[in-house]
Amino acid sequence: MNKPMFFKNKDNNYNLFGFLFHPEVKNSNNRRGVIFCDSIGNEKYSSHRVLVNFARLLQENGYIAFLFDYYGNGDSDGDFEDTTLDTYLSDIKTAIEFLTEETKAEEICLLGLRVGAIFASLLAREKEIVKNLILWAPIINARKYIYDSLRSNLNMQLTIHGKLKFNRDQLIEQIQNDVTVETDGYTISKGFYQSLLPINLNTIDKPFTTKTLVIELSRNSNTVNTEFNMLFKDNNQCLRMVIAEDIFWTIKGTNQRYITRQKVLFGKTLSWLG
Amino acid sequence: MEEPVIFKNKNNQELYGIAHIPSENESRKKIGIIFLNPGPGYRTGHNRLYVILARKLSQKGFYCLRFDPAGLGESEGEVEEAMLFDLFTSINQGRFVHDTIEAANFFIEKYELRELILTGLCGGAMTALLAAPHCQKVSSLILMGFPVLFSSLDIGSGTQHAVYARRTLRNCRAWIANFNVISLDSYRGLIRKIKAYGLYELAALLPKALLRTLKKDSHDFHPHFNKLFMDVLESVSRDIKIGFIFGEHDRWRLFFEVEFEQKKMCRKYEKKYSYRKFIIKEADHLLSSQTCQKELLDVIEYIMHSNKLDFQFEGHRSANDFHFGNFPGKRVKLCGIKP
Repeated sequence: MNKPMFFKNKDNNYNLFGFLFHPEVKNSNNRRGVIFCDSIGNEKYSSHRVLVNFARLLQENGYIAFLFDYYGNGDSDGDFEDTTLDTYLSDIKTAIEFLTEETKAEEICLLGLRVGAIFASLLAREKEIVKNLILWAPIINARKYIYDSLRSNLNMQLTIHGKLKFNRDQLIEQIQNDVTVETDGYTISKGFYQSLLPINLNTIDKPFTTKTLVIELSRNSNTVNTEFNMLFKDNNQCLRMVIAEDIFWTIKGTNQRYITRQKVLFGKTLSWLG
Repeated sequence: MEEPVIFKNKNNQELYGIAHIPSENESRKKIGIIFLNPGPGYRTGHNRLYVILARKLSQKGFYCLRFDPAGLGESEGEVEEAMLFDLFTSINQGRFVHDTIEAANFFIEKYELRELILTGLCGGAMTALLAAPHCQKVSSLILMGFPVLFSSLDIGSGTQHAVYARRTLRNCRAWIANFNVISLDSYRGLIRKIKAYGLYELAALLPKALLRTLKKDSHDFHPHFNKLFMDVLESVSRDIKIGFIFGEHDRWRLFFEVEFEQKKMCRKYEKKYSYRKFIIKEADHLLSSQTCQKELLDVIEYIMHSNKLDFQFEGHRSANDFHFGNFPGKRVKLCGIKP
């Protein structure tokens, strides 16, 4: 059964959009729900079909899969510029509560993609019902992530003005002075920036208190993210893998593969879930 | 109010979408607008453009539908193409036309609409045009970032581009005739391409090319030009209002002007078109900035509210003839063309 729906974040009084993939056949996985903590902005737009296909695969294997949109993203209420770390975490909490109520799921797994992995990691520490955590290509350092994402603003400046009017440091300064800055058509507000800025999975206390699978995608083993190393020190709860598959959350031009599913990524994740 | 909707296409696949229903406080116009998917993404559009537009238009009393055709978003079906280029090409050949017809039928019936507007960006614009003759009650087409070529310029061999550049040069008579239509910026972009793909070779061919141009027999198209849409454009523009909208810095605008408008205007070509073209200042292909989206909304409303007669022109006119005093915002240029 596939069911699109709106559900309410009662704490903040707005509607979120979700899509429930419920298995038809009853088996032992029927009480296990996987909630997708998506990336944001255009990464979400580009990766959507891959997540849908993985949700279908989970459904076929008896899991309940739930894809939802954060406030200010996708089909949910609100504007991106009004989002903060608090709204993202509150939305994941709401999704967990909604799914457990709607499906009577007894165990929840959070699957976080990119910056969604940060949200999932932070939330997993708070919610006891979250038994598993899957992080696909997680962002470790939010400050670096925002800094990198400003690149598209620079590209836009070159397209429109033929030159750079503001470099990235100046853009950051603008954000801090409450001047909104756009990247890929999404507005980064001071609230969003300041709430994410201090987040670094390497420095927060016990990011992984649950059983965790971390998967990085890299065609080249030399480009594997060394930022992760701290995370896995003395942590036997974590399994880390590097898979040689293409990234699927950015579209840079028409001359690239159209990725709708990642065979190895899907297979490894599914087998880890058991 | 927004509600999820489900309907089936002719292959019995379930397609999902979101319908925006104007509140009862708004004056419900019983006019529906369908937003068509640009390409590999899903129903929100790039930068949530479709969500933003649909919400604003729904507040003004219009019914809106954003849906995913087969193989995209949460809809059933698969996209078999391995390369994005192939997917775009198939969209520009009408891949989603049947799903659009099903969506239109469903939308009209469910909300008892009396009029329908099809809109889309890039591939969605092409789908809107190709589907228009087959959908009932279509009154307007709003075509954003319309792609007249099957692919982007980064596809194809250098040879193809050299051929294209040579042919473009041959068409210099068209350039001169349409100087007021094409902006200097577009020329700069084109000259950059010519330089990149062999200026010296072009210079050597210039006398011969000029001679050929004088003979008025040059109808050369870009090697990737999509001729498919021209017949449809001719037939639908008789009864349906068509508004093309481009960002000022959208390269597809250049291709539209150079590959379609110039060639049609200056050659003995039997087809007749009537449409309007709107340029959104300081905008790119994706119309991504918030400033330009405000202006875009003004243009869309203008197209929807204007009379069909405003979209039909007699004889050839240039961009400068089509500035309308009552149009909100001075930054939008309008031009129409009927060869």
